[in-house]
Amino acid sequence: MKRRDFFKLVSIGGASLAINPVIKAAESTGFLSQEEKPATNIKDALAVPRTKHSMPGLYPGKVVKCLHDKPVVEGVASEEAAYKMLKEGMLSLTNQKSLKKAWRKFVSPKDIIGLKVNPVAGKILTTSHAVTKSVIKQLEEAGIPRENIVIWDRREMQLTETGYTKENYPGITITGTECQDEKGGYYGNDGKLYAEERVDKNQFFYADVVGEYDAYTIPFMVNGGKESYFTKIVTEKVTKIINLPILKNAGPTTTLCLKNLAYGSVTNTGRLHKNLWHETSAYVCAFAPLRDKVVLNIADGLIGCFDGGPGANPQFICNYNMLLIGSDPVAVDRIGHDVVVKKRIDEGIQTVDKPTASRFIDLARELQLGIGDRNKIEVTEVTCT
Amino acid sequence: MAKKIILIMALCCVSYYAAIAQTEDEITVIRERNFKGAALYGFMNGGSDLYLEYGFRDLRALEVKYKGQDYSIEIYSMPTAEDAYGIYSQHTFRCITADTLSSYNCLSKFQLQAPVGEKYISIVFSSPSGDLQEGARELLKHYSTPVNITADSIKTVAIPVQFKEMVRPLSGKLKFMRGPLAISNVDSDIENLLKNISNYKVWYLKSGNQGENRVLLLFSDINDKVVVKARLSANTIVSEGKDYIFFGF
Repeated sequence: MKRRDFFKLVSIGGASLAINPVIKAAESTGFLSQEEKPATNIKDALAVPRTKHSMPGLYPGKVVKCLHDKPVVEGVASEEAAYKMLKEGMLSLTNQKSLKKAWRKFVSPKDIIGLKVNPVAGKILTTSHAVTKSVIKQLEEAGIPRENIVIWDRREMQLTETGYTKENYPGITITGTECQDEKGGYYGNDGKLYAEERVDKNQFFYADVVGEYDAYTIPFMVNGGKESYFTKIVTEKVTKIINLPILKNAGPTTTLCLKNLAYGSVTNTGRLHKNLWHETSAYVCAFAPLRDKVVLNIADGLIGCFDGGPGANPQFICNYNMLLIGSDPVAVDRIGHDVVVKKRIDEGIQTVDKPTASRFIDLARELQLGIGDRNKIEVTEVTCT
Repeated sequence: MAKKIILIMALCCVSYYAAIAQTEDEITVIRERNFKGAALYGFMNGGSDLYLEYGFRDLRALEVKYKGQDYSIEIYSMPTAEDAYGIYSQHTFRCITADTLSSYNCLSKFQLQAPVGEKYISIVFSSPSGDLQEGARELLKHYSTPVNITADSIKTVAIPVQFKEMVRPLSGKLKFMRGPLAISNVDSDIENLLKNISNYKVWYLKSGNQGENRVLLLFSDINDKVVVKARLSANTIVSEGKDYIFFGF
């Protein structure tokens, strides 16, 4: 019996099945669901006028795929290779001959620049130091003072665990929303979470789903209820953001630029995974602190994963040997999604790409955050050896 | 004869526990963290949902030095041995060796995993060397046998009879799922098949060869079985009972 025949051609839930059962019918999980969704305040985000810096930025629909034959040596990403890939990618994206001019298209010495890394899967699958250090080096070469650079993510603890420390990055601010004191405590003497001081309660993503957490969980969520507050890192501290996600999967979908930004910038996310994963990934990026500050996305595919994500399991970790660079996070996500899904198909994890697996891209496109249609994305391949 | 057997068994026990004690002496715990219930979000954020779907209870995450080498050990407590096997089965892929020593386990280049009773244990090491792999095996043995619990009293997962005759090893091929996230990770067609159905269990033997995949669906509500059966082509069904359908494709 062939796979395509094992279902009858019947209607499930009123939806007629297409010939190929793999891409038929409405799905039922949070990752893939298109069912009626809880109300959100996305209209509040859209009511804020766009600026010249708003997504998709300077190069809508343009993605540079920088390839290298061996940028990872004995499991460690090479800074030399990453620097070269980044340099060639930046020159190609901006069509400049000067690397300084290329970077200055996006940032100036007056900016406070936040590098949004992704350390959530721990040491073995974090935004590589090779890429982060290359970005910093090139920013400095472009005249950006070191003290104007901030490495950030949601959890300061995970930054430390993955080597984003003052020792490894002297002179650079390293900060997170959720944090601990030296003794490992989450609460100050006033009984408040340290993280509460770091969130902006005037800017939030509302969704009609209540987050309810026990005492063990609340330090990682900061607050419960129906609001997810933005971190002050994006609302106050930085003026520009360079997004440094990793090429990796999350179940049958992928977590790249939009997911890295959205889930890294707001509190109370536990409630947002199950039924609102796609919406959150797109909608949160439509709020001004992200929409108007993210100027560049550099997806780190030196070391990524094709299954087991968004956590890290060694057997699913692979070297994509590439960086994807673009100002347009939606276009980068589309190209990155295809890279990860192709690997999953090659490895026998799945057989086809389900359109619903990248619904967050479609939502972001509808919100005019970038170009999601493959046919409208210009991909330039740059090979470095 | 009986005395000899008892003596041999006693010696085995003594050497087993002596080995564990020796292992313990050589372990230096660098860091230990514990996460209960939804606090798992603090450890792995979005990845938690899959564990929570299997009913995750708590995690003991250790970074240890053993015989001079670094290991990351994660011990997940799940509600049942089935659930421990289920979350284990989500993380096994192309094992170098699997199901050795009469139990379920999977060794890959940098990781040794095993379901042990109601626990799922993962040991990650930094190099694929034989010494580190052997160290991981010793650590697995050590952490599989908590104080005051004998190896015999650990509940083992009951693999359904439909899969017992299948070619070993089963680790890496036989998946257990009881929720949509796990199913969507393995086969989205099954996800469609179970649309609007709840309280089910799925055992799925992913052969990789067409015609050799086998799926056992177990239902709490026999009405659900009727609904799902109507969605299946009759000639795929290998066998069925009051609360289950076993089919292949």
